Amino acid sequence: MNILSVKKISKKYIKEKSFFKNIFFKKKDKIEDENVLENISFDLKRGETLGIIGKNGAGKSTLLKIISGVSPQTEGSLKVNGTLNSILELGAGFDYELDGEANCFNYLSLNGKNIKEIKKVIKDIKEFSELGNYFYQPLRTYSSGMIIRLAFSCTTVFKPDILILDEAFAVGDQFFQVKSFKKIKELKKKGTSIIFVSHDKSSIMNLSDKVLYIEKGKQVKIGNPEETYNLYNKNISENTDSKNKPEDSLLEYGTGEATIVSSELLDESDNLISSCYVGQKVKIKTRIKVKKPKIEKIILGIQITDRFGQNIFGTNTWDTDKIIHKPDIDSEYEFSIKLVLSLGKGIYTVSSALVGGNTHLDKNFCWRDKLLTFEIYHKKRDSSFVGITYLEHSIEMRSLK
Amino acid sequence: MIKFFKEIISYKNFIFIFYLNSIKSKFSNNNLGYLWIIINPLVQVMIYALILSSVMKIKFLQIESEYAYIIYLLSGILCWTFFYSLTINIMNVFFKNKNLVKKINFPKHTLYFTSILSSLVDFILLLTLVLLSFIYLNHSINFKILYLIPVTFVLIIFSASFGILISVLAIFIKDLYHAVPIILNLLFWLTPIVYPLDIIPVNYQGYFFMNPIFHFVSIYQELILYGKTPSITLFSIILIISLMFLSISIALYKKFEEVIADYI
Repeated sequence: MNILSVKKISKKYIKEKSFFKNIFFKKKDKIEDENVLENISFDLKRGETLGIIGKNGAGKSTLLKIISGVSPQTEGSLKVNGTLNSILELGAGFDYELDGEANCFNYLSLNGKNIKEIKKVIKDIKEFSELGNYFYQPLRTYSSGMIIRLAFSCTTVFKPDILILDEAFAVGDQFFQVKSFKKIKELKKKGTSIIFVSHDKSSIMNLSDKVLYIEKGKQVKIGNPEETYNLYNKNISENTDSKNKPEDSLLEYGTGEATIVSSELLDESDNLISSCYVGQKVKIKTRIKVKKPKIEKIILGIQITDRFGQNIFGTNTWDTDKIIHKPDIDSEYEFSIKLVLSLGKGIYTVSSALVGGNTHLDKNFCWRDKLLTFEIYHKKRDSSFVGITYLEHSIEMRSLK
Repeated sequence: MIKFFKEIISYKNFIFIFYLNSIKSKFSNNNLGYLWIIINPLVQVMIYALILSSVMKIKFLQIESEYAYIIYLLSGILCWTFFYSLTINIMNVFFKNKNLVKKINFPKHTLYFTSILSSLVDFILLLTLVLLSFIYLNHSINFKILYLIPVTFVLIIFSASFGILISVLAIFIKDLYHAVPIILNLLFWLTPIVYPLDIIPVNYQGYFFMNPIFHFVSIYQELILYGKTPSITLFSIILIISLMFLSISIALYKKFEEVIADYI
């Protein structure tokens, strides 16, 4: 039996004044509305997990709000057979002046539990959230990771039939993520259906049975995780490609004597990609154009940065002796840098520069910040590791006796 | 309508816990802590009793006591404060609990009842203080004071209806959050609380009877000051009006219940 069925749900936000007038005066104001969601349909079986992907502003959170019953749909029908708990936002429903315990009482009593039932589980919540003495401190002293730990512990303690998790859920640290993954899988086994939003390919691949891809409020595809994610990825990389043209970029500076025309991330068989697995062999292909005569030499440098701005890896063609000497005006060159991306999971950016010497401080012709973006994911669950880079390793074990 | 109250019963735990926690949240991080609950009404009573009574020297012919004015004043203030705090609390309840209303699915009118609970507790504290000060002033109070219970019950219905009405309208007309306290302030001075009705010229007194809150205040004043039993006709009229008002307010709330989270 379907625990949740969503049929042709659409959502329009009508300006509050027009909404009010329409109800009271029956005079139809010209509604300036916007379709936030259009015709979303899917079913969810007991114990099934649905991942939702889409760009920011695609309508993912609105959909979750409708399913949670916080906000009504304009059209379509929604059927929920069972209890439903959701984490829609960091700290949603919490009072920051109250301590963790009091917030649990508030939250669980909202789920219809009485004091006795809450007292029974409060210890479990304290333990699972690993807050220690912070459990008795006001929430305003918490970090965002701590808040999400508390929220997750509260929402899962009574094993709801449906659990809804918005992106905020990804805030916790590595340890807690592993722990909550485990908890989610355990809940799943016990029959809880889960709907979650994520931008992280590994969570999507690891957790979901099917994936819904929304773009601009429209349902693009629902189905097999791998296929759906790849479609999403393809669409994203097409979009970022167009952004990579130098004219659009604001993060470009330099003398302009030579410029970077384009930069692409390709896999081994020369397909354009925007996400790769740990240890994948890739090529960064960069085309440049010489704009002015009488340049001594041109050197290309690249730099890979993680999402915290940390420099992960950088190199240039000086060190490898691939220097362009005295190029003609208007001539074009292509560099192809082969790399093995043994990096930890996450999102990285590539910046490139054309310079006249060993560093970009010498003669900077063109510096392009964040020219490329790519994501690293774990290909298989068993090859996962923690940290920022993957080190080739092998482990031996023998018994001593 | 039945569903409205049924949901309240099934969420009684939440109402209770949420109210206790809201007190905790308000006071537990202050140095004086829960003492603040008492300090506010205490200062209020003192301001009215000491300052106003020395400024306004009004004689009450029917009563010999030199403290007649203080007693008159306090009984009116008691009624007015309850009406005011209940209306304002209910009016603001969605806005104040935005974080809850926008992110969690639950019957939102349970929040009305946490407001009623909170205003009611404040009222009982103030009432106790007022009654204690009467003993101090040697003003005798008899069992008729128990008539306050049904009257206060009707006052709750009336004030809550008003608050609910505004709380729903204010979602669409945000100005009400600022306008209503000002209007209520005006109404305070248009109600004989600080002054007796007698000082108003007779041909204007008719307008005062149109003010519904005037009737509640005068029942309070007469009960406490003269020990007069409220008239059954007046009581039934305000009861019927309050109940009608309540059903209108609930109907309005029901109409907009679903979209509150979208527009707050």
